[in-house]
Amino acid sequence: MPSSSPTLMTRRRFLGVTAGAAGLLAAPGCALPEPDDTPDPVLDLVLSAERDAREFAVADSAHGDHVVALHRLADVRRIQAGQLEAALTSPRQTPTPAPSADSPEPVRCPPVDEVRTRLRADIATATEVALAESGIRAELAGAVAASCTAAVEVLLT
Amino acid sequence: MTTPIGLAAEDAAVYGYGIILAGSDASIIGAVRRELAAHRARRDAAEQLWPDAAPAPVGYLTGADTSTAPVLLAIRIESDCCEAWRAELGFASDSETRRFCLDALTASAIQLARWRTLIPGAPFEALPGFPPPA
Repeated sequence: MPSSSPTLMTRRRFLGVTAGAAGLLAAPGCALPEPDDTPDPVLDLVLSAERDAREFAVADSAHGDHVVALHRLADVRRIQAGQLEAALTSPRQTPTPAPSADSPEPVRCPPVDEVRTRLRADIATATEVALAESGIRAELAGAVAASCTAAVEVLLT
Repeated sequence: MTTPIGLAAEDAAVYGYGIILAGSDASIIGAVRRELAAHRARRDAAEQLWPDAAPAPVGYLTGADTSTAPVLLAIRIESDCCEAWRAELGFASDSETRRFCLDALTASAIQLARWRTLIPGAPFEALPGFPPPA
């Protein structure tokens, strides 16, 4: 007679079921894939390009003769961020919004010396990515490294 | 082995800077000589990197849209080199070749930017070697 009462599992049966499940997981080809928690290195390039695009765009008279170059560089970094984002291996997670402050920090463009230092750090990161990757991701990272080097050597001299 | 496009671009650059040198005035002749030497050295190094590569086919820089004005031709040469080394970087399968391609791409991107400072309103490349954004 069918019964709706829960079936009691004997100790022997429990051990058999759990051992079977463990064997299934351990069997080659049947194991569940480990989630890859390694951050995509291209994401670092996207985030720094977005930050630069935002901040260089507000360069003002305090930046002297470099205002036009910084505004131009803001456009360059915006284009780079967009193309790099399209090359991410997985869609970017929307960051959790920070608790709202009374007055948000105003966007400011750093002094030109700091801009150069920042770009050199981005060149180093983009170079690492270009040398480690292949295909379009290597090409994009390499182009970003080359463009930022040209910016430091020519645009910001 | 067919000619790698990076090597072919450097061959074309050596040929092209030779033409530019003949038509250069005093304001750019030093830079042209320097770039001719730089591209010749890179072409020779690329031949070492791909010792079995066939010579580049002749006929480069002869398109109808090729300017003969020295600075415009130099911009075209560096732009072509950027495009070639960017593509080579994507194909490269070992770290030595990748490093060579990246260094060559960077060198051409810098010189491209330098030549463009002589043309008022000329753009600065966001992604050297890629087509400009639509």
